Amino acid sequence: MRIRKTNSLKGNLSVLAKVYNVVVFISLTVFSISLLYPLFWAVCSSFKNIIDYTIDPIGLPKSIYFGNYKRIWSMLPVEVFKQGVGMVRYGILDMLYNTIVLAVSKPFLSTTWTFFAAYAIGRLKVAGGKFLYDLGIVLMIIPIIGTFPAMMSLYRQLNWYDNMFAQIAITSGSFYGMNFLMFYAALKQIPWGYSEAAMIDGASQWTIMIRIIFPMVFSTYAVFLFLGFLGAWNDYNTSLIWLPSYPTVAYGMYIFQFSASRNTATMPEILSGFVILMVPTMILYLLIQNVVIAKIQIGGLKG
Amino acid sequence: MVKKMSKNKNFWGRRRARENLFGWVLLSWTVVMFLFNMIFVNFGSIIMAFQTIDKLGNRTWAGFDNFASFVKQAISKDSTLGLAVINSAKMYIINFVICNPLYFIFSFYIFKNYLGSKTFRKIMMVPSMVSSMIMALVFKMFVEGGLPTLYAFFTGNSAETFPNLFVDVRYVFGTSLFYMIWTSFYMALILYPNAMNAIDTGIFEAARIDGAGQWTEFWSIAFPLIWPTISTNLVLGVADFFTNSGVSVIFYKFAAPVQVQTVGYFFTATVMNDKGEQSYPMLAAGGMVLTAITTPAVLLVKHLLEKYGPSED
Repeated sequence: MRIRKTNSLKGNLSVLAKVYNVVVFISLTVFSISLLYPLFWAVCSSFKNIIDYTIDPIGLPKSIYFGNYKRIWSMLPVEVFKQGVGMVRYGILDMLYNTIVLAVSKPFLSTTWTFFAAYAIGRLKVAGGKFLYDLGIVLMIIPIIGTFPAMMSLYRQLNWYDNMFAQIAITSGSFYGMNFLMFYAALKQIPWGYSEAAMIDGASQWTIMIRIIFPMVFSTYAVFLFLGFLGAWNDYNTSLIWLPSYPTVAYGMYIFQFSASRNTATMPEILSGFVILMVPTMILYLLIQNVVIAKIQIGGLKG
Repeated sequence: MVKKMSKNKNFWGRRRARENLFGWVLLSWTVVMFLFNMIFVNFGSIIMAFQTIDKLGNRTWAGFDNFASFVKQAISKDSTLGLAVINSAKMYIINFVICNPLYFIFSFYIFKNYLGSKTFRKIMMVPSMVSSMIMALVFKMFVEGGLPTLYAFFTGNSAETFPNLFVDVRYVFGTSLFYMIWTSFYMALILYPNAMNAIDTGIFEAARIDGAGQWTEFWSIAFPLIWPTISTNLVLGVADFFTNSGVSVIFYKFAAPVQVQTVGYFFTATVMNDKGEQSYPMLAAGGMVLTAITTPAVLLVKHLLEKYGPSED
């Protein structure tokens, strides 16, 4: 007997439902085109020379032209006013260095300290931990507005403004926020028996945390690290507001498109800069999606 | 026996003390940062709200002058701040109140795996691979560079007759609003179907057996079951009302036209444009006023949505 495969979610549709389906399908198709076409246009235009672009801004390139990518390297450097020094020019390598320092150190410290906080509150249940947890939930709901002026004034007084070390340190980790809650939930799910067995064997608290518990939440840690890296790679805001003397590649691109008329940069050249910035993050994102980060359990109970 | 029990009690007491000590060492940095960023900075902001700062950086007591000045500007339609309040309200009402139900209607289509759903899901993930800054700048470049040509192609008019949507004051707000809705739409099309996937398909099958149509599945099953996700979105929108600066910083840096400024953008741009800090006290006072308004509003909206929203029963 042949068994007909049906989609259990669909069922029989009324006329109105069919109209809904057609309208939504057309709308989503138009929306999808609106999402993809500007990106496609940007990539195609980045391979046009200015004459091709001027003649036909929206068509496909008549020939692949790499000149924009060559010239953008010399056009991207930014000039920044540094207190006590004057105007300083930062090249691509300088911006790349700043980007890598921020993109590696900030997510690493932030994720690690957040994991520590979640371990202390969720797993060790330290005295006062419940209060901190409830406080964190309240802070996530209650908006506190208007502290930016006081923060800016205070950072300037403490010489923490335009200070990379300070910026990395003061944004490291918290006992509230989505990352904390996810670590908290993951750690609470791990049976206490693992820690108990290790304690009986004489393991220290540090050994238990690092060698037994941490590998079990490594996948969560790694995902936050990757996402933090991607966020920091694309972050122009930190350089714009807090670290004007430490421009990143994203900041360089952001500033470049504003000063493009001064640099006589053409639209294809600007778009080639965007494509350069887009490609690493797209590759990394695809790697996160495709690489299975297996949870590592090193058999804490069996030793 | 009593000695042995008290020895055990001492052991567990020492162990617990060691755990607490270790735990607080782990917590130390995050607690110090919390004390600084939340307590110390907020305390400084409260003090600043009652001061004036002159051109030389001297601070004097100002009483409630800053509060009065902020409120006066916020309720005036002729001031930048007053316009920013109106813009923030428009963006919230249009994006969260009007568009949110539409996002849900479209998300239901994707959840039901109708024609093209898998392709649409994959396409919605594409902007997530690209940073929000790049998406915004590509959008801006396309609107300035590609859209006039498309306009000329479809209408036969010259591309030069197409207005610059980022400069022409008639269109700047609409352009920013469109961008906000456009990005909110694809994020909702990721968030809501994922929330609906958690619903047991057996519920839909049982409903269909009982003769339920698509509208019943949508309104009586899917909507109540993902109501927590929708209501969280609405509550966060209220919390974000005065802090959301939109995409104006990306489009305009700190020189956006007044027609497109929101309250969040106004705060950021004023701080960044004022190196002498003279406007900081008024902003600090304004922050306190807005916090006093937003906090009960968030709690009230949360309460109302929980009380009057659909229940899973």
